[in-house]
Formats: sequence, C-alpha cells, structure tokens
Amino acid sequence: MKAVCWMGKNSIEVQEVPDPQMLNPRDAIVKITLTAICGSDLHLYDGFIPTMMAGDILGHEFMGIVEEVGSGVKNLKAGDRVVVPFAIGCGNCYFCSTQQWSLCDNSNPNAHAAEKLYGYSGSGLFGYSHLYGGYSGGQAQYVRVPFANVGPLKIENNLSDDKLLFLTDIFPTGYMAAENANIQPGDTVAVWGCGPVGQFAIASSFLLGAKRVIAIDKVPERLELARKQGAETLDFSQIDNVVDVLRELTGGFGPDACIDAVGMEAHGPAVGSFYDSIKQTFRMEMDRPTALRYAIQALRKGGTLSIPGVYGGVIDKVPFGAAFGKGITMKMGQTHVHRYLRPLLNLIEEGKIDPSVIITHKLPLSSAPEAYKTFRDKQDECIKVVLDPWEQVAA
Amino acid sequence: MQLSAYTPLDVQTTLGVPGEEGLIEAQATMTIARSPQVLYDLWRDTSQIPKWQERIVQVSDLGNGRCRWTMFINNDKKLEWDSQVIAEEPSNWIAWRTEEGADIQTAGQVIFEPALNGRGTVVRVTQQFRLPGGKFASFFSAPHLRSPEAYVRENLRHFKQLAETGEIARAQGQPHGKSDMRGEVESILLGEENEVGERSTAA
Repeated sequence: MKAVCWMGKNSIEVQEVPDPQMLNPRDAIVKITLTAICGSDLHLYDGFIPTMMAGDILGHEFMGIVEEVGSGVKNLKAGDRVVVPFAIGCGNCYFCSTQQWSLCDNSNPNAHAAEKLYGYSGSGLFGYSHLYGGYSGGQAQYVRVPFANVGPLKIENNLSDDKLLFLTDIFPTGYMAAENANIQPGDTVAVWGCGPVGQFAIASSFLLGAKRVIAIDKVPERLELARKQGAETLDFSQIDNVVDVLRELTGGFGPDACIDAVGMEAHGPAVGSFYDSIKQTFRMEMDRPTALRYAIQALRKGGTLSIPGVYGGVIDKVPFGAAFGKGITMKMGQTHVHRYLRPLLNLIEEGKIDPSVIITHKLPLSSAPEAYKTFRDKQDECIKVVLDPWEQVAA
Repeated sequence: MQLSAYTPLDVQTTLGVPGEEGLIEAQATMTIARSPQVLYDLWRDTSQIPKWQERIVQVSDLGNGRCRWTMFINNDKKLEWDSQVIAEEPSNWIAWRTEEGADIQTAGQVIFEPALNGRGTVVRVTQQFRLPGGKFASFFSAPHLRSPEAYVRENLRHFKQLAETGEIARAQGQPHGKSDMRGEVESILLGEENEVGERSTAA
C-alpha cells in the first residue's frame, strides 16, 4: 500500500509499504477513505518531537471502512464505516473507565520511555513517534487499529467523509478546549490561534454559552474564517500590546477564559520570543510558549486558561507569578476523543455545525510532501489539508 | 508468614542481604483493576507466563511448585533453569527462587493487596538477581537489552495489560517505510525488540 513516511526533518516521502496485519485479538484493519494533516504533525515535520525514525508512517486523523476484525472485536464487522479516535484507549484501565481515554495505561508499548520524560505515560497515539508507541499512522491506504472494540465510532448516516473526518481529533479537541475553559453564560473567551483547532474552539465556545469570542492570529484567511463564525478578531502583527487591547475590549476585566490553541511552535513578537528561537535552534529549549505567556497575562483574575495546544518538553520564562497572583485555573491535555464522539456526531447530524468549512485543500495522498510544506508555511491560503488515499494524480 | 512490603523477608526467599556485592534488587509496583484472587491465579498460571514475561518461551510445571523455564536470548542462545515456589498464600503472595546451581540466580516475591482507593489490587514485585558473571549476566549487560530493574518493571506492566485488557500492547510488526541505521539503533535502544515470547494470535 501507499503510505506517507517521515524520512527526517522536513522530509516526507510517499512510499510503497506492506499492508498492515492483525497482531492482537482486539485489532481491526481499516481501509482508509479520507485522512488529514494535523497542526501537530508539523511538530514532527519540523523535527521537534524526539524518537521519530526514518520510515515511520504519519497520520492520526483518519476514517474508513472496516476490512477485518480480530476475535476480540464483537461490535464491528467488515464493511462497517468508522471514524477512529487518534488516541488509543484500552477501555479497561482506571483512566479509560473514568473517561480519560488519552491517559490510557495500557496502549503505549513504549510506556517506559514516556515515563522517563513525564513520570507516567499517557496513551499510545497513531503516527506520533515512538515515545507514543510507534504505531503506524493513518496517512495511508490501510491501518491497523488496536482495541477496535473500544475506539472506532460506527457511522450509520449518509454524510460525506469531509463532514465527519474531524471527529477523529480536531473537533473534539476544540470542543474539549472550550469545555475546559469553564465557560459561563455571557462570558468573553479569547482564543489564540485560528488554525483548525482554534476554529473549532471558537465554534464550541459559542455552543457552550460564550457571549463573545475574540480570536487572535495574523493570517488573513484564518482571521476571516474566525469572523465568519462570529468571532471578533485581533491581528497581533498590527497590535503593540494584545493584553491592553483585550483589557479595553472587555471593559477592564480581561477575558473570562483564554484558550491557547497554538502550542509549542508559536510565532509572534513577545518578550522572550527571539530568545526562544535561538534556544530552539540550538535545541536548548524545545517549546516556544509565546501564546501561553500572553494568555496568562491577559486572562482576568480568577479566570480559566485552557490549553489544547501541544507542548512536549520544557518551557522558559513563563509568567507564573502572574498566574498565581491572579488565581487562575489551568486545564490542558490530549483530547479524550472517545468521550465526545457521539455528542459531536449528533451536532453534525442535526446540522448545527459543518466541520468541512475549514477544508481549503483536498489532495491525493501522493501530494503529501508538498502539502506538508504548504500547510506549514500557510501558503496558498491553506487552513486544512485533507488527503484522499485512493485518488490518482491527474496525468 | 505474613509478607508485606514492610516485613523483613525470610532468608529462604532471598539471595542475600540488600547492598551486598554482586546482588541486584529490583522492585516494581502497579495497581491493576482486577481482584487479588484473579491476579494470583493469573500469575500462577504457567501456561500464560510466555505471554507476559519477555523472552520466556516456555514454562513447564514439574509439580510441587517446581517449574522448568526456557528463555530465548538469540538464535544461538537459550537459557534453561528450574525454579521453586518457596512459600505462597493464595490471593495474597508468592515467594520463589531459582534452584541452587542454576545458571540464573534469582529470588522474588509478589504481593497482591486490595487497593485502598477501590481501584483494584496493588501488585508489588521485588526480585533479587545475583550476577557474578556467566550467561545471565551477559544477557543483562548488553546495552540493547533490559536492565534487571527494567525487566521486572516491564514484565509487571505486561502482566497488568494482560490482566486488564486480555492482550499486550505492541507496535512491532507494523508496516513502515525504508528505515535507516540511526532509526534502527534508536529502536533497539528504546527496547523495542524485547518482545514477549508468545504472541496471542489474532482471529
């Protein structure tokens, strides 16, 4: 089969690889009908996540048709249409049984490595380095899905793939980010980052009762999409001090909640950002927490900072005194996708949200190498790339 | 004899005094979401051991708590030894050691305690190894293989996975593109070629 392979920093190749085999009784093999490139894939592309090895198959947002199931999978059969959460949960451990699926005890074969870094290991992830299990990802034609009786959601409607694909990761991620922000009716929420996760965070904030959402980015088409969703927008490249502008906009309070949908590869002018870039170049610092610093500074007293943006290592110069002095709450982490599949599918089926509006590029799988670059550099007004594993490039 | 983490261990069940020259102590603790009874039965089931202990190809029950073990090192090397259960209390604890003169010198205890927070059973494994040299020492000293501490901990992790989910998580054997030397070395250093001896087969 064809698969998108990481071959080094900024090096992506589509290679011919063996089809996946069943390895455990609770496995299923899925034929992938649509997949996507995630913002967090860019951290792999840019070489910021350790334990990537040449040949690793990327991709954690995918859906398709079940090809075969193992003896331990009774609730799915060949031919079922499924969306598959990007985090792998066993369904039996303390964390899965308390709905904290992305913290599963039992799905990371390399848990010992994550334990060295973090103290304890979270769940395995599809296509996201050997630190997270070394599972082959879904930017391919087929994929092996472990614990298939737990993760995949069976789809029984006739909606097209592009309306459903984002249930695998970014829609639940934006939604959980808004939930984590503890939004009360009438609140003002500030969202840093108008990429796909930010867009879903904006939509979800309104769904959860926010009165106003202020979205912050500098890319024109992303700000425009945010406005289409009802957000007020700030272009941080044109503003001296976002904190002061937010103070003005919120009657002197500051936003009630802030969402950092940017994470470890933030751009933008900030005290320390030049310093971060130097340190990152020399691998002395892994993560650039620019948006995080602003979000802490801007948040109102007693507010909640919600962090869906991915961080991997350690960060420098975070205004923790401000966080403490204002008594803020922080909530963060990898998305517990399984929790949100049914409720969010209902929203899509009821027509309350159409996730496909963020798609700007639909390409064949073989275009993945260029697509990664286009997405990373935000060229061609790119917001979200989906890949068709079976479409042939036009001759 | 009541065994707990705080009770000094009977000399029969240990190889020597902690801190002694050439003696390695390894310990691991995990909470497993099953009852002490279920876990004790699973631990004592010799037919299941190759599923959760790395490189163990076979364990034959010789009766009276004695077992013969076969461990796979590489295509040219296998180790065999006999072990003896010294003492045990069903659903509570088991103490064992390898027989005198065996290539492997190890003694261990596993304790199954109901978890106070209601999350199942706290399983504590303590194992001692004597590595004066010889076949077993070279097994542990190769850089790409597990240290004794990691060996005990990873086997307990596999035991937890088997007990809770019915299978051991694995990613080895999946498709991938062309690898390079660096990646292959990194994979070895990460311990990815340490597999459990017998794979539960699908379908």
